[in-house]
Amino acid sequence: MDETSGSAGILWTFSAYMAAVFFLAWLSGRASNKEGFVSEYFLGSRGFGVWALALTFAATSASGGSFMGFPARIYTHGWVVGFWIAGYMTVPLVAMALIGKRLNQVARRANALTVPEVMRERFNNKGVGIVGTLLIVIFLFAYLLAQFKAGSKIMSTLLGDVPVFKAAVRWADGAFDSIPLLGQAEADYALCLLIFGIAVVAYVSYGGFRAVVWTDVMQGIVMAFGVLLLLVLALYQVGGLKKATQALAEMTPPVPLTAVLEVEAESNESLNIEKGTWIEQKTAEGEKILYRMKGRAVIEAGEKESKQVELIRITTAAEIEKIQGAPVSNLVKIREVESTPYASGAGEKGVYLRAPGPDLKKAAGFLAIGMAFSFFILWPFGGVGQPSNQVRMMIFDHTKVLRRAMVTVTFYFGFIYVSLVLIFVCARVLMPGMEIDPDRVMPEFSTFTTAAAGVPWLAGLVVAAPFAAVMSSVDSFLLVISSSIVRDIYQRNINPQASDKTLQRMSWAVTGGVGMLAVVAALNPPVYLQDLIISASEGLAASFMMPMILALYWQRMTGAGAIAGMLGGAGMHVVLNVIGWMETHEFTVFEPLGVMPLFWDVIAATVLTVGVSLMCAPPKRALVAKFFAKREAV
Amino acid sequence: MSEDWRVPSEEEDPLLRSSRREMKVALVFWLVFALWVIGSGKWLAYQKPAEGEAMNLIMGMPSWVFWVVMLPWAVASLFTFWFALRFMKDHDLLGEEGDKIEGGEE
Repeated sequence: MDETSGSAGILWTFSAYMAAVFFLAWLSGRASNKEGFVSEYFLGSRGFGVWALALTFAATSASGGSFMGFPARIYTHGWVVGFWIAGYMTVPLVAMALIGKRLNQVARRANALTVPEVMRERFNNKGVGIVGTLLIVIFLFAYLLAQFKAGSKIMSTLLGDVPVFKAAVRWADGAFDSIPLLGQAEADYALCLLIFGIAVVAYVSYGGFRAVVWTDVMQGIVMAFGVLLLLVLALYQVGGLKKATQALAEMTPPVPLTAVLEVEAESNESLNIEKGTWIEQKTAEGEKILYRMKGRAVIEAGEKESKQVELIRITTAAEIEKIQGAPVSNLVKIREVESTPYASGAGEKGVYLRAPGPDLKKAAGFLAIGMAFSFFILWPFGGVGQPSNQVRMMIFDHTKVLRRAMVTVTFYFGFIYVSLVLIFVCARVLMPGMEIDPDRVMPEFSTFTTAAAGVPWLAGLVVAAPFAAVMSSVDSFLLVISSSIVRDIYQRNINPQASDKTLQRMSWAVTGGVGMLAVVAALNPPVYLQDLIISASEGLAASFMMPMILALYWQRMTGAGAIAGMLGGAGMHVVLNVIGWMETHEFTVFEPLGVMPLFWDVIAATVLTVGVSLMCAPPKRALVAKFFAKREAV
Repeated sequence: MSEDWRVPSEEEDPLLRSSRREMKVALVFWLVFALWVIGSGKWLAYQKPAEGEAMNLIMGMPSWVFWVVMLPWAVASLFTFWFALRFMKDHDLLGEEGDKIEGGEE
């Protein structure tokens, strides 16, 4: 199959996927319960079944990080990433069983549709709702922005070689030039961001929660299918897992370096060397050295050398033998200026097979035992604290649905995460040199394996998996933010008498407005975006985990305790970030005793929730009875 | 201090009581698996094979990955199935819709 038919296949597969998303959103709009707009729009009238609950929970949890950052980590650090993700084995039980049933009951007794509303009604305290809403909007917006960026990056990778897309990018390059903000971003990225943003905002605004859940179900299936396909292709092409591990045992990390590219004589034309180009050099003894460009280099006409550029030097003999340098290798010579070998694992065979794993910056390696423990806490308990997960515990009407969904999610997470580890261990062997841009390893490996199998059109289906993961998270976050603003700020505090029609218009406007704001912000995202995602996710867990658990199970808790706990968890998180920044002048979080910040955030939130509650007068009997007593005793 | 605000345990909602019981079991379960995974990981995952020896493999993966990640993951999944299908108590949630509470804010 030639390249044109391959890219046409990708375009068709991708278009079919997007059409299915819109079809489901339209169907969900038709199936909506027409009574009570707000309840339907923000919670789908609370009557979802096992598959809907399981897949919306799983798909929302698996964001762009699961399909971009996680594969990048496996590729860069090896088998130890299996240890890093091991905490996921307890996620279905902890994140769903710990609060699922009880949160659903409390939300129903409170007639609450959002997480801040549950907290507000549980304590009959406006302040709790307002603080909860503000924390959600601040932390989730940072998360949302990062997911918009990830979605656009995947889309541009996926469609990069499609002729129609290339033509559209050429058009956009000229058309966007004079538009503020749009003109500053790269045309392909800006175009994808607009398409992605408008698509998500349109179906979330139109279909509300029901559309989000139904599309999540489809996206969850696409993710599982993509992973299955990639697993089969990877294991087949590498010759089995044993071969992959044995090959990995011989590998040593590459050496990142800066260098100047030189030519022997000036030329009348400039010489462009693109990102990803392999350059082969020979030592005086005739030994082959292999480099890969991390960015683009230009040797201008009339010049004999480029500016300093970043490259990696491959150090594994098998990889050097496998790769053929580009024709440009004969024209340029590489003069290394400065190399920065891995702080841990440089030149060490077997380092990809064991803990702590190689690491470019950390001398202790990728995963010291303290960090392994931290992540074993973070995955399940961080999941408990995410408002987008909490709201999913409010959408079933019988605990049978929750129980069966837990079984489904257990299968699903086990399959997805274990398979991804196996796939990208194989990718490390089959596709060397991706350290130049590890976040692109998933789409690149999808293209690589499907092309090698002679079915390049299937890449569209495989790459749709991370795209679906991003989309299923974005739609959920978007709705959590807009529901918080419309329900908790506007309807509960500003205009309690608002009609359904007004609330409908308001919901559309806010969902569209927040989505477009995220698109604009993502046009020029902050430098430390990846760090911001992790920090925002931990900030949400810090703010909502312990206050929510205690609100559900502790009768003596008060509204003031809830506010103190939420602000205390968030405050401790911000303080640890600020200390980290002051120490390193980079986005580094301070980790007392080598344990991740969430642990300390949760302790702060717990101490403040309990301490302040005990200092206040006890709650009123009627309020406690409403949420803790048998129905007939209320 | 007067405890008249408290709902005595015999008047507590059955769903609350079963949720609390399930929460305790889930937390113990998490602790057991944390001890297994982190304990065995500290012992096995950081070991370098002796000079000239290849790392032991099980099912194509380093043996420590099998004992520290794959086996506990399989057992944790089985436990979750038991917990969800046998241990958790069922409750119908449809009758839980509440009414507005009388009186002002707390």
